[in-house]
Amino acid sequence: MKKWVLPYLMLTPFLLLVLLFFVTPVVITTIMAFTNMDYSMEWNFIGLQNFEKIVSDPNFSQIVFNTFIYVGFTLLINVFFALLLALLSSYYIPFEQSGLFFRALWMLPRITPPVVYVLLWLWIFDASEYGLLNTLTSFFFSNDPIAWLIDHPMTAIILVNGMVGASFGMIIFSSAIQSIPRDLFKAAQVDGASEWSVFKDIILPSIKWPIMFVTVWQLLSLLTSYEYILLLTDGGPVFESEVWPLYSYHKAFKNLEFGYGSALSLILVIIAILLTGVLLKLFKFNRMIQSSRIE
Amino acid sequence: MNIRFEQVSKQFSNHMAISDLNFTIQDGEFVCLLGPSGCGKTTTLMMLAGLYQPTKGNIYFGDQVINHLEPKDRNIGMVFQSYALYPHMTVRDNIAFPLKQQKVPKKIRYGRAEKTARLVRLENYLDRKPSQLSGGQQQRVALARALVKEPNLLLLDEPMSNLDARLKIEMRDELRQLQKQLKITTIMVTHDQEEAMAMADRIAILDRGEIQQFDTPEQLFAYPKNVFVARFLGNPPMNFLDAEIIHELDGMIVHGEGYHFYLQKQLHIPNKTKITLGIRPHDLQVVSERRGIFSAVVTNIEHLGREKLLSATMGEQPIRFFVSNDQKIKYGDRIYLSPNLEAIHIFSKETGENLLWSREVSYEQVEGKTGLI
Repeated sequence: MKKWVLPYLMLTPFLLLVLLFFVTPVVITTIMAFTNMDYSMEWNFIGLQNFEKIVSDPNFSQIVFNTFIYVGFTLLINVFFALLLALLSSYYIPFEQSGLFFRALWMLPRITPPVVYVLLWLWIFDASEYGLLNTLTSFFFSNDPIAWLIDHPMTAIILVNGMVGASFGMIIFSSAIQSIPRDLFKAAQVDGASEWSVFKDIILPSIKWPIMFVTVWQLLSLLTSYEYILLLTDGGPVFESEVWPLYSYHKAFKNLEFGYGSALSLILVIIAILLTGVLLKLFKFNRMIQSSRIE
Repeated sequence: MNIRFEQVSKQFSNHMAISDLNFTIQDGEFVCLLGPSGCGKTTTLMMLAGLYQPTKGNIYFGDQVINHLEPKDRNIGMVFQSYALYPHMTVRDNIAFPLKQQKVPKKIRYGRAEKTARLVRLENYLDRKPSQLSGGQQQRVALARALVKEPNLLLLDEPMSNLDARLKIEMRDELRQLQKQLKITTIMVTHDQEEAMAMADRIAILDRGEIQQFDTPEQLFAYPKNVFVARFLGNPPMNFLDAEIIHELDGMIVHGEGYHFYLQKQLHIPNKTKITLGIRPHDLQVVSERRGIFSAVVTNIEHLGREKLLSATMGEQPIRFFVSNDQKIKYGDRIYLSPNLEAIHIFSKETGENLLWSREVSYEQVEGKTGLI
């Protein structure tokens, strides 16, 4: 018994921090979801009224649709474009230095503060003739300036988030590709394997685990994060680029309907957990953790 | 199919891995490339596989120059040191993989994969993954994968280095028999001289990117061309002693520190040339003080079962030799040794070249006889 005292003593400060900053908010949010707390900060329990309100919310269907499109397409970019970048920078570029440089370039948006990154995109999408896109289109096609963020808000938020998110998958995938023994590629070369076969038969099965990890991780972060959308379009125009987590933020902190906002985010957490379960099934997670991987 | 290297060099950015390699390998021959690490043997193999291109010179398969031929067009099979089995495929799919790349229909390719698996006694493991096999079985999968496309040339890159000693001897035998049975030209890279001696028809000994000697195991052992070959082959290694040559009527006197003896051979070298005397441990005999040429003090005794390996020092110089088990010699004893004068080697101190054999007796003769190199 005594030998466990010290480890627990060492862990206690961190456990307390986790308890304070992670567990407590979850508990409070859950409780708050069943109240109609507003700016007066009163805990009035109203049962399931908040959830009934969600279903009957006139914006509900559009927000669900937006969230679905946004998460789906951004996730595709985050996984497949990342995989392409990783392949290019680790398998096809034989010189580690150049690959590293290439990857470092793609990492830049990730190490840039979101506000600065979004400011850059705001300049690119600027509706006046001085915006980068408008300068380009007027130069090549002599078009009139287009208000990109008004006309194509969903495309804009998917692109912006996809680009910054792809660097994460790229780093994970490229390190996974680099950890595949070189001899396997040599053997494949001797066996006459085509590039496609090398990708399909050697690279892809070896990085199944990282692909699953990146997909799940990005799904969760896309479902719950909204800072780029907030900064770029703030969900507008009207509700055209409003997604679920942003809506819950707006409800809670703009309309100060804390109870309703909590209920929205509680539902989102449940959906996230369910989707994660589905993905793990899809990737045959159980079988994956049983079989041995490359030694 | 003959394989010929013609003045082949391979330069990597900062060093010369192979310089001016010339040799011919006959159809159906089993050749070992033997040498210490960094001697260029793997580079040579990679050039044969088409994974590296030579910087200079030509490699021929038969009459065809294959310098820039893609690996897949060379019809070669290769076994890697790490086996490089595809970890996500079953044994069956691993073996059939080269055929799949040649677009052989599924039924035929699985049929051939199973036939090859039987050849290496793997027929009961076809549905397993490589990670579920032992090292020896994995090695056989790699071998089957190399053999399945019926290659003209089999390349083996240190295939046994990951096996334990007992399995090594077993696989050595098996591989050798298989090679003879299939009559497939085989080139194996190894740093293990015992393995090379046991398996190869001929061995090419490489050092610093150059072939030191390319010959049959017997010839290499009996007539090493230089000090490097002599030192590299044989376990325990040859004893080397410093000496100088003094010409005498009809022969010469080998004179070293604390010993001298008469040798009835003549060498065309200046009087008092410094030489290195080479004597294999088996060619030394413990004799009486009166007949002894070397006098040494025993420093270590190793029991090898059939016989004992003794280490001793003559002044500063260490010397090793074998004695039979019934000879009662203790640590610290002074003993007297006499070499078999027919089997001693004299190397030039300067160039390392074998002065006794390289010029007169063996090398040109052996070359002339077989018409190789």
